[in-house]
Amino acid sequence: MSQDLRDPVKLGPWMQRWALRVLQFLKPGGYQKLLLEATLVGVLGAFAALAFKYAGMAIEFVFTGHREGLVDAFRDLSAWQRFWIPVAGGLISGVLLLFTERLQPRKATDYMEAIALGNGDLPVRASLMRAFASLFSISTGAAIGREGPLVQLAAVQASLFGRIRRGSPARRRLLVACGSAAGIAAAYNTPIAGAFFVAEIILGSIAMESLGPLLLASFVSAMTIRVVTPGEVLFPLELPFVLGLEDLPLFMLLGVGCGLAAPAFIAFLSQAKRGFARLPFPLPLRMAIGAAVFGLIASRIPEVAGNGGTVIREMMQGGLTRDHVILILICKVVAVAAVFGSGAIGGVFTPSLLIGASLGFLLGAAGQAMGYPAADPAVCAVVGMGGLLGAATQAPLMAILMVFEMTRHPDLIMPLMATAVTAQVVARSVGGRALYAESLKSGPRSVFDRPMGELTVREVLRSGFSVLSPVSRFSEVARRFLSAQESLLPVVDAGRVLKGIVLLEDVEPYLKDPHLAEVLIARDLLREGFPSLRADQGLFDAMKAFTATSHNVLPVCDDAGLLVGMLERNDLFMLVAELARRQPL
Amino acid sequence: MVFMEMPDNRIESIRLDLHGDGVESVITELLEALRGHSCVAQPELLLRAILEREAEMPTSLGLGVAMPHARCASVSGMVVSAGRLLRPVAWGGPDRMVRHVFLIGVPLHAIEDYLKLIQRFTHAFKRSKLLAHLDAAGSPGQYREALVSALNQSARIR
Repeated sequence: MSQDLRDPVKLGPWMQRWALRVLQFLKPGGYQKLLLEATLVGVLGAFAALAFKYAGMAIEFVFTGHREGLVDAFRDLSAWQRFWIPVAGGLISGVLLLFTERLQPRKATDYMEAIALGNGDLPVRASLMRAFASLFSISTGAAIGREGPLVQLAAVQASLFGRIRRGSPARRRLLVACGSAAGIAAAYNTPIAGAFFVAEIILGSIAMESLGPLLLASFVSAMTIRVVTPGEVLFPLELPFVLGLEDLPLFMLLGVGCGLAAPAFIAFLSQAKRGFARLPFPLPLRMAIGAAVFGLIASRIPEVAGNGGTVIREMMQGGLTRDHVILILICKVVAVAAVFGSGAIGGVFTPSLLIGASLGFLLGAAGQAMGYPAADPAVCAVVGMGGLLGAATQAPLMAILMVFEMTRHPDLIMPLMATAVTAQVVARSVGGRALYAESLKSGPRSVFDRPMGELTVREVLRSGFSVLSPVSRFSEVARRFLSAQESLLPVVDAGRVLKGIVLLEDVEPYLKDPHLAEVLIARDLLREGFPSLRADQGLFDAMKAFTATSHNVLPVCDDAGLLVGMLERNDLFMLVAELARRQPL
Repeated sequence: MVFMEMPDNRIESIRLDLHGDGVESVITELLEALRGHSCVAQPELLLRAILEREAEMPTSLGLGVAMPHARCASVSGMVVSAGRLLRPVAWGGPDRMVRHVFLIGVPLHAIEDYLKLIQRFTHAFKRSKLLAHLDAAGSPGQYREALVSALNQSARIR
């Protein structure tokens, strides 16, 4: 049994008294504990993101002599360097990935798979090695985003945290979702969109049970980034803009363009991936070939380097001409397909933004040339990002929030709504697949993929919990309530047999009394005959048990009466909701 | 904390001539006084529960006072049986000599009342001059009066 028998936190009497008062006031339940865990995951996610970012900058410096921005670095390099640096990076990354696959034959699970299809468990070593490998292709210029591995890293720490806490599968899965949201929030400085990205695209639900922790993790992560780094707005836009009725056709037309372009782009990426997979070469060579295609393009057009953020900013500031944008758009699509298709690990999220921004910029420039009043290339570029994102991810709400947070321009919400919704409708109408459809379809099977009738309490319980012995002194009872932040503590004998439960509500008025500390023991306080679950009971029985009690957590015993875990009401209902989502009746 | 007057009839029995020479014999003597009480259906079960509880952790307060207590299914209402020993006995160790013993029987469900009573006892002994008054009491009536007064005072202060 994995129970916590270590000494609980030791505080001075004065501090303990105050901590107990706070505990009594808050009366922490499963959901409050989840929020606390989400907060911690948010902070850790931000630091994981920062670590990845700085590691990438270090490698970029080694190869290019620059730290800030691959486009600027590539502009300073010679054409030959623009070719061989990405090729070297792709080769190193490929070798490392091959090494990882040999060392860790188990399929490296993507964070989206782990949340949408798995139980939130991510292989730590394989994920770390893959993230390390990705640094070499990303930091040597490859036309993909570093955000994918960065979010994966934030999700991995959350998965590790959930495993250390020995939470239930539902809790571990939600913590990984929180880690992912924290990663996105840290990568783009977009706390609301980070939460909605995970809720809308991966979890497929914006229920408060999951959205609350996601928002908290996302917010804490973004705040951590803002405290530690300057935390600038990604794409600041100062232009005054008010949407008029006459402007609507322009933005809806942009939506149509994005709705057609997004499925075409996704199909092109899939085609590239299939094409590279057919090449009779090992992974390092395939990745070197992909990087060579990119290097050839970059040797002429350095703006294709990196994830595209710099080019979007230049577009918004009017630093690029229409012809230049057309050239960058075509080259970028080919470069992204070559790098991504060859097997490099990285995101296509930010490159998609560049494609949307380019489309918007071009439409705005065309409208301006025709004398259309609302046609401002910078505004249209920003709105185009939202349109392509909405169509590509099939998540318009997230797209609107994301672009709004990236620009912090509230006047853009209305045109963003018009464009993103139109784009999503058009993309769906033409049968376009969502950007993450593959990740959300394939992945390891887990407890959430089994019929509900087959599942037992043993498979969904929380195995990390604090226990008391019948002879635990009252002072220890107080300390354990404080350290475990539970509303009840199980009492087990030396043979691990459940003897009863000590309820916080029974003892809380007395926990602060130093005179009782050495007089009473847990046995004096325990409630025998407290409702409990058997490990081999089904989920229906567990739900019935919870409907018959007001307690939010129940102990789970095996046939011999040994305590094997705790089941929380919140975890059970989250699990059932997810089961219903994956196996609709 | 809710103020509650200590009803003196809750102290069911007071004996000032306990002559037991060990923990078990003293507890048995005090339990004898409860035999036939309507709230204690089977004194033997209560005795066993109290002795088991003593074995797990002796209930000596360290001031010459012990409070053997247990929750037991055979008790339907809280009962207290108090007594003063003719000669102090060691209670849970040779350095813990006890002269005043308060045996408390508690129904299984009465956790809150149980905690309240134990708290009042511990406070009464730790704070007031109760011990001196109990030592000086010449009759069960004086003993009861001193005890109830201290317990009620303890409840008011809480």
